[in-house]
Amino acid sequence: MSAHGSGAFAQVLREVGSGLTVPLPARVHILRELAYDLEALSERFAADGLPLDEARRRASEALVPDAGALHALERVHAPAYKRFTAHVSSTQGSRCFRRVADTGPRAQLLGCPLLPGGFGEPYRQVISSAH
Amino acid sequence: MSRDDFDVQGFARDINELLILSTLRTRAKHGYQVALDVETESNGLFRFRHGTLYPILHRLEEEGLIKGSWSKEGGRRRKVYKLTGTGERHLSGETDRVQEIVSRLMLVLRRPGEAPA
Repeated sequence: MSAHGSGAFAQVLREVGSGLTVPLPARVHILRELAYDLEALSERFAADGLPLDEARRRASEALVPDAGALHALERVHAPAYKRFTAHVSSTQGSRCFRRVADTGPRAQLLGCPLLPGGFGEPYRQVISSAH
Repeated sequence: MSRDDFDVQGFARDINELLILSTLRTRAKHGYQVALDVETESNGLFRFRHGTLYPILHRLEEEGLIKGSWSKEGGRRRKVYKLTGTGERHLSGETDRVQEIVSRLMLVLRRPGEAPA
């Protein structure tokens, strides 16, 4: 079975895949896991006596990620650099910009990891010696 | 736990995570089995709908609290999760924390009301 599935859930898996912005290996794993679970759960419901269409509908309702769940999956599987930049912009970034807004000297800018030359004592020394 | 630590939304998310960890205590399970068992064990009180299960499973896996592995069944690949040692310790500690929160809440809720003026 492909990651998109070959069975009754191929269409829904295609839709999930198209709405999921994660690196390809993660996307394949997510879709493959979902494909198995959808088929297994619908078989289970059918074995309990539900008509096949209803069994598939209930399995989809339980397992197919909605927009919120897709977004949460994207956060979990975001590449490391994306998570890092998101983290920096929500923590250090705001602190840096507050500091810059408060004082504004060049030394403060160089101390800000978001800006070119951040973390850069050597840069500071070069600039100091140039003046 | 300090008083400043507690937030209701975070608590709801923690409960979902603990339900999953708890149902994996007995044996390894794949995703849909986790969802079914949580619903059954809670008599229908807790249900995972609309795929909300997967982000939690994947986050727990990334944090090393559960471990996922792939196997084949009837020609189909499936992912099975099991609780790790770290997950067991986390579950134990968090269960104590939840109990403390619920105890405090009940103290507040069951406190005798003041007589109206």
